[in-house]
Amino acid sequence: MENLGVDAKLLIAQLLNFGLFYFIFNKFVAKPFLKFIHLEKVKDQERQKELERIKKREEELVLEEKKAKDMMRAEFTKIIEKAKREAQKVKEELIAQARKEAHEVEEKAKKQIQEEREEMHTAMKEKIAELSILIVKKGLGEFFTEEMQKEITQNILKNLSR
Amino acid sequence: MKIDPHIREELKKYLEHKIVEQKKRVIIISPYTLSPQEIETIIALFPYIKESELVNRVDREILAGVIIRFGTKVIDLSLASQLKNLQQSFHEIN
Repeated sequence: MENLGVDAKLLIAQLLNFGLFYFIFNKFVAKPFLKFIHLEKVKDQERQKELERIKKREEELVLEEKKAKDMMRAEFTKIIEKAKREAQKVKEELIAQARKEAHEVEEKAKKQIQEEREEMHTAMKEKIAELSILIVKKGLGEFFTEEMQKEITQNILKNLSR
Repeated sequence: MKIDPHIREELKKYLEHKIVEQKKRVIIISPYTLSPQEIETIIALFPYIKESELVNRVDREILAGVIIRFGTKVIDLSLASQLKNLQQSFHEIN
């Protein structure tokens, strides 16, 4: 062995050294490091799981949001339709009211015209009567002689005495 | 409107005097001058005008008949008033 250049003592020392190094390395470096790696792996897995859970939750939220939007849209459409129907109803009521009022105004105007026509008719008849009497009075005034006036006066007084 | 009591009394006396004067006079309105016989006929019909002063006024507007006015009273027997009544009856018919 010495001819090969291998020192047994040195070899044994190096082996012992290596063994010691191995033991120390294994106990104080490798194992904690491996433990640490293992822990990191576990944490990583947990993070992955958490990430997947969050993604799943996000998808659920997106679905819920879409559902809520659809519901809101439907509700909104319902409200709009209801408002349209009510506006149409109010419009029809207003039109009916306006027609009724227009009809009333028309009837009132017709009645007024009729009344005025009757008043005019009455006034005309009275005027005709007045003019007729005036014409008769004027005519008689020119026609009557004193003898005729005396005769009529005596007749009036005679009738009175009866 | 307040009137002085003294003035009011004087006015009252004056109006009463006028009424009494009116009552003393009788105005007979006719379309022509009435004859005494006709005046007698009228007095016979209305004896209470006998004591009053009779005044005959001519007004052709009454056409025929007479209007007797004494005091505040008027008796209208004229043809003109009959025509007016006829006109009034037309109005009432309407």
